[in-house]
Amino acid sequence: MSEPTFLVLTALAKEPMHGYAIMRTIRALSQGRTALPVGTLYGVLDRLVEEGLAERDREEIHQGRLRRYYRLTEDGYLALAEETRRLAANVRAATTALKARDLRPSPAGGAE
Amino acid sequence: MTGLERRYRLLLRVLPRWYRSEREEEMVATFLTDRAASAGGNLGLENAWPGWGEVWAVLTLAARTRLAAKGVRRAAAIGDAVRLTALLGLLVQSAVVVGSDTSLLVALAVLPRSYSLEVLDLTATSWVASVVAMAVVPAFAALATGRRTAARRLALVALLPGLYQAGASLVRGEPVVESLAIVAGQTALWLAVACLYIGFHRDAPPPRDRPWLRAFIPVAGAAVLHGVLIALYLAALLERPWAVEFVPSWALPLMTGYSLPAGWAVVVAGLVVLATRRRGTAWGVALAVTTLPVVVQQAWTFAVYAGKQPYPITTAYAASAATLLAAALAVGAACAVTAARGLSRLDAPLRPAT
Repeated sequence: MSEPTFLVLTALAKEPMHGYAIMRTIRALSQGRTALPVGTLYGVLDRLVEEGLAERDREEIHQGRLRRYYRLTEDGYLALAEETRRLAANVRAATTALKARDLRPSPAGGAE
Repeated sequence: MTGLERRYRLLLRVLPRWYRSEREEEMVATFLTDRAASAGGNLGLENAWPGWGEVWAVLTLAARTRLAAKGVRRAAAIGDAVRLTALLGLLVQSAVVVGSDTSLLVALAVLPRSYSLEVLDLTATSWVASVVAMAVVPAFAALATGRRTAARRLALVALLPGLYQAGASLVRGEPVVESLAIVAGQTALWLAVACLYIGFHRDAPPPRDRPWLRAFIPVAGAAVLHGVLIALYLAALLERPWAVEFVPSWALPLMTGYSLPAGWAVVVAGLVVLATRRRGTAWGVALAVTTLPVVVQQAWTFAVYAGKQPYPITTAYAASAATLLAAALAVGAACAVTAARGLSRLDAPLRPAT
């Protein structure tokens, strides 16, 4: 699973969101490191909907513009859980390797 | 509507109509809200442009939707055609390189060393170019076995010798027509590499490797035989000229290059597709497109030799180029008509797969 796909799934895991809210959430989740272009975001959403991991929720008109909300399906939650387990196992392995050299990951990124 | 919105909507026109009818308003709203939030309001958006990152993302989305892997039947058929064109093109170019390098090695083996280097015009640069051009073979193998990224990198490497030759010709102050001739000779490779890049996007299915790898064996075998034939002809020409007097003049162009057998192979493949009609629309489009570089190359060859003194050899070159040109035009046009009929039957739906 690519990082943009993982981040979109993570953003949608909390609640149904429209495109801009997903972009804003991803920027916050990644502490500003990842800013998805709109073209990439909709490519990811297309794929998630095609694979049955997300679906359309509702539509609103906000300040004269269309907002379409998306939500995760049960399969989407399962896929996110599986990917999270995989990444967590990787993080554990890396943390163990770093500990052997007396390094530990800092909460702000990098190592101390 | 701000200038930025106008420009973004213009950019979105690279997306297919069915996709825009579903997504355009949503994408515009998301894009403008994000830009306004970044800019602290709508001020300054009149003269702003979508960034390069956004342009690239929309172009990538256009490739994915216009050359779909599944879902929209028309887009999937065009996507399959582009992917077939890449595979066919890399297969033919692999054969050309295998034949070319075979003839070089055989010629080196059979010609006396004293003048083989001079006759074959071998320099350190041409050796390196011959080796680098071989990258198209592993590029084809990588693509056929589903290694898309490796195939893309290797295919780019395979373009380097042609680019170098064209550039070096310009630097040496030779007429621009010489560089153009080199580029015209590489049209098929450029087309295949372009199709590889745009057709095998992230969502594209990998090709079924077995049929393509199986096809490579006879094609490469024929290229090796042809390469050996060319080298032996060259050796006979230099050492036993009487022997080559028996070679009919129409066969002479076959003894000096690879574009003719490669071109005829494409024409025969087109005839098979037309005769069987079982391969579907994608094959028709792919063969119609694949005949284009053959047409360009043979038209160029014909133009060059038709203007020369009418010696038997130049007449033979012009005649062989004209024959292949006519055959490629006829088969390409027939494939295009078949493909257009097939595509018109695949109605583009108004909604995307989502």
